[in-house]
Amino acid sequence: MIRKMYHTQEKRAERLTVPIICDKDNAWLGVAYYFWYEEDDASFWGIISKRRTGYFEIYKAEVDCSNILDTVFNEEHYLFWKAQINKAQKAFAKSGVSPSLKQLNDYFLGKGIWQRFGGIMFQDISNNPNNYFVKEFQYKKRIQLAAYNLNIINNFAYHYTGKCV
Amino acid sequence: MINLKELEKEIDELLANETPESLRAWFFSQVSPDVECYIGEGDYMPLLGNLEILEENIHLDNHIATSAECEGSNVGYCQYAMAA
Repeated sequence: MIRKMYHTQEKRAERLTVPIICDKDNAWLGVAYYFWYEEDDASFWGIISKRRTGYFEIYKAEVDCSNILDTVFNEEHYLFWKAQINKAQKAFAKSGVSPSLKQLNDYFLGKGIWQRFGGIMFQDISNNPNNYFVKEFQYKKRIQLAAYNLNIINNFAYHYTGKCV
Repeated sequence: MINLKELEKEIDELLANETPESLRAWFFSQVSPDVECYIGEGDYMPLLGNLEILEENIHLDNHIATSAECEGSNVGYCQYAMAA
């Protein structure tokens, strides 16, 4: 399955030709190329988190999702993911340490396990006020793909520039 | 198509081959250099000795760190809600 997805970066002097890999500590699915499922989430992320130059850029791409771990729409994948993360968390806890989710993902990446698929798609909840039709309840999932392999990213191209208002 | 059964088998084998020492060594190898600026380089000792973790006490803490919590240190239980 091919999905159109969105990559957000601060505005730079030169346009990107490939996405930028994220290795920051808030890369919660591990070191990867992060894409948004929905354009408005990509834009909102630009406004709140890519503010250094006052402008952000949205890039779009066609992502081959045929070999990703899809924890959002595939129940079997979600249950698999949850079980493996819990398993690893318990193993570390019994050793007296508590890695973050980012570190658990980096562990599996470092051991070559997560490279068996092209990426992980996961969801959380946005804090975009536009999504609250009822106080404290959102009707939308905010979905991200962490791509571990550039080969699944095709036709990566500049989409538009936004202002960090 | 991902072969989940095969992947799970690999993960089980991977974790079965780990020791408490090897997992701790991996964990502390992830400590970022800026934290070492505060505490210095050296050997780490586990804070807990003969630890027995009860099943009900193990959970994934999805704590959303405030910006104040994140300043100065990025190690420990801080778990961000999003990234990119």
